[in-house]
Amino acid sequence: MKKFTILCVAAALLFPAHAGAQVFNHLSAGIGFGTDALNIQIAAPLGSHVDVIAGYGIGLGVINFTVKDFTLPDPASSSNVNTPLKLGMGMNDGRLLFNIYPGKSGFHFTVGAYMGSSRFISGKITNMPAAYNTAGIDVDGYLVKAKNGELAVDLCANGIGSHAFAVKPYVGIGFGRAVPQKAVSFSVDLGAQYQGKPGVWAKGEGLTGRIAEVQITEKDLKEISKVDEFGKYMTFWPTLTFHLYVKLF
Amino acid sequence: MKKILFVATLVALLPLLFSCEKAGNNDNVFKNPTFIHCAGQFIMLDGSPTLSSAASVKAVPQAAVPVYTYVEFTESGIYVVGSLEGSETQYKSGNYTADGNVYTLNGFGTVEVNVTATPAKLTITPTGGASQTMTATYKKAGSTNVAYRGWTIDKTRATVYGFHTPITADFVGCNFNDMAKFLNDNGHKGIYLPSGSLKSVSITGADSIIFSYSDNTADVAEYTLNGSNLTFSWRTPSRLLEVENGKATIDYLDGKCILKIEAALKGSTTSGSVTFVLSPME
Repeated sequence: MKKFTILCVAAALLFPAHAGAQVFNHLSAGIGFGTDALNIQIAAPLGSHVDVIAGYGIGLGVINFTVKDFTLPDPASSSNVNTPLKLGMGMNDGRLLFNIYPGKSGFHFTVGAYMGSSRFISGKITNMPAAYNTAGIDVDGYLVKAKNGELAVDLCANGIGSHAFAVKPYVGIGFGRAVPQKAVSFSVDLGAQYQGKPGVWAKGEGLTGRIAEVQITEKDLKEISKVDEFGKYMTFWPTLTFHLYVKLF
Repeated sequence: MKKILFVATLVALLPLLFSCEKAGNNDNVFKNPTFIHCAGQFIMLDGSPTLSSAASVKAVPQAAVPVYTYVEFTESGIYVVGSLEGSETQYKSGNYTADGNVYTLNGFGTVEVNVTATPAKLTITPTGGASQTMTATYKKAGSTNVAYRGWTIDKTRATVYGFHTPITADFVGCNFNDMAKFLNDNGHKGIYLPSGSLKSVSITGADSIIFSYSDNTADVAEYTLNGSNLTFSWRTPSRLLEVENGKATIDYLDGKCILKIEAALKGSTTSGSVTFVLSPME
């Protein structure tokens, strides 16, 4: 992760060397939405062919769906009961991106990375049997249990970083300038984040009361394999975004 | 302006160079227990004890004269006295104080020891009863391991491997009624546990683990400790979950001792683990 960050900083330093005087001479701010969450960004030119973009996005669960046939065993009856799994977008990350404009049009390639929380989908298992309010599953010494019949879970992926600080490299193409040539510009981008195979995480209570996020695997709960099956299609997160930028100076 | 933006960008990137994760504190430094100098174990030698009345044991009705088999004083001021009931030793437990060679056992009486004699000698005087003097093997408790002390039960985490998936629950302290309800509510109906609760666990330098209950009885096991792995066997059948002889581990986390016992329940295909979060006694 450190190497990647240093590479980004080095890129930010090297581009201006080839770019003459047009470095950080403008600044724009933008808002956007897409499959990388609602976000705000600022952008500045690194020469006439490169813009650097920094921003922050947060998923508010506006796009959600439910896995209706998710089931869990009811310890009291030793049979499985239906416990719908509700999922929604849950990103909470920063991003450092470079738009590279090969020509004078707004067409661009984008490289960079999303960094921060490894969570990209937040969810909850609902309608859980009452036994799960008092008892739960032990995951690496942490007790994960429901509250009022619901258990909050996250789908997390580290990319090339760690669970605590994910780094998800991004490549894509787009149209529109992040630093408007006039007052405002509109940009649309399509690409993919490499985030690796995601896992299911939840908060658990350690023996001494310490709360930590732990990964629930099939060895802890057989039924989690259904979510893993679903998650293996998310190694690359498709990213379609729309932005409106305003030139500040 | 350029410089300001450039510096601002670098400053914004700095946090990306660092990340940290919170880890548990594995310190296991505890104050020495108060009664470390008194700790030791006596196992009575075969042969008739001498009654203070000078009457022979055979002359006294068997039921009226307890046959003591075992006495241990722990590093944290807990005593255990074992006496035969039928063919098995039953253990009584409580707190003690020491004045020289005389130990006053709360709820029991007094024990005077002479550990310089070979074999060691004890004079046991239960409250309201006759004194008995007997010989015993004596093992002085070592003091080289931080585990050797009494520990109170903060929390019990029980996991039962049942029909489909392991189920785990936390309990404040270790109340057997709560544990039995948990087992019965989670597909293991009919499992009986005695009433009351576990008050403390003592791991002694004389190689004993003493489980002291709220009714002042106790279970005693012998153990060997290899690193954090502890292997134990009950001196008499335990009432603690009817657990068969098993394996345990001792670790330290956040100023607590974590004693995890994995074992099978007697007469059942059910296995599980019980993890005690223990606070040190002085």
